[in-house]
Amino acid sequence: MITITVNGQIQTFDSEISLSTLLSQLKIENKALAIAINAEIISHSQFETHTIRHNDVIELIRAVGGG
Amino acid sequence: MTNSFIIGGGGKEITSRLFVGTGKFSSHQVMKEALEASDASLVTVALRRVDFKKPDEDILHFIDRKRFTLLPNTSGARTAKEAIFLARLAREAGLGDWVKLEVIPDPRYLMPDPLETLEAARTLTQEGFAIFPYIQADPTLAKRLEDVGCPVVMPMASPIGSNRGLQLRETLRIIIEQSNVPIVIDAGLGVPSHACEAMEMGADAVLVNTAIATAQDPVSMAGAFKHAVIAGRRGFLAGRSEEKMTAQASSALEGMIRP
Repeated sequence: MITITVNGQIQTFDSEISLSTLLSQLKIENKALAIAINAEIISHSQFETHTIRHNDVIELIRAVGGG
Repeated sequence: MTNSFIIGGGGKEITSRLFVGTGKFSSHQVMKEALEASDASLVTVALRRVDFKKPDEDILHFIDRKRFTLLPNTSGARTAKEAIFLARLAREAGLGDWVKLEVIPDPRYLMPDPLETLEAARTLTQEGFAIFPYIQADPTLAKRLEDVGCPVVMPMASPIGSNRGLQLRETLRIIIEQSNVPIVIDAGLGVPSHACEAMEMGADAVLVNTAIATAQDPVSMAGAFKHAVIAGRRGFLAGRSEEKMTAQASSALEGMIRP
């Protein structure tokens, strides 16, 4: 069991999962999306291969209205 | 062409002198229609966490990127470090490498921090970003930002969202006179006449958000700003008539008859 924080919310999973699996479980479209894990930016090319580990703090960021 | 200008060493042609922000609209659909009515060239967006309750609600579905160039901002950043992080996220999200740099520690007047802004501008420019820094109307800072490679400088007219117009007219005039890069007057332009006057002063463009988004009819107001910007630019290029303290008759007195 791993516990992670995604956009400020605590989530648990049975085992370590890939970043792309996390996105599909959260139903988040992998488009115009930026991701930081533990304050490190993850490049798009790593989305498939990057593994989420226990205690990771994940931020999923995208464009919103702003001036 | 009165309505196009060039930004950056790459020489990208900007075909409208009105930039529009996407915050505070009542819906994405109203924003979309207002953007179309404004005929804006650049359109700003902010970067925030994905809302899990609305994972499908993506503002980019409502912005035609073939027509509008995105200008992601670093709003929310209080330090250079936070702004640099947001700019890098914007690039990673595929929003391009033109970034409106905002570093604002002050929640009451939203005054940008000049030292942190300069530091972030220097770092991000070295990383290949084209940085559009939002600053107080400080002519010295504007020159320093130009020196570190900013292709544009964006001084404020008055505080963000205040709708108070060109409160900083005198220092804006100095910035425009001294700058070698385009000047975009940003923040505080509350009505079309404010934007028109900014353009008459010789600004290269203006950025408007609150005045359009929170008007009773945002789409109609967007169109009004479009025309104000074009009128102001034409007025500037036409060369204004001199201001005088006394009246000067418009009708010649020669040939006047008296009973």
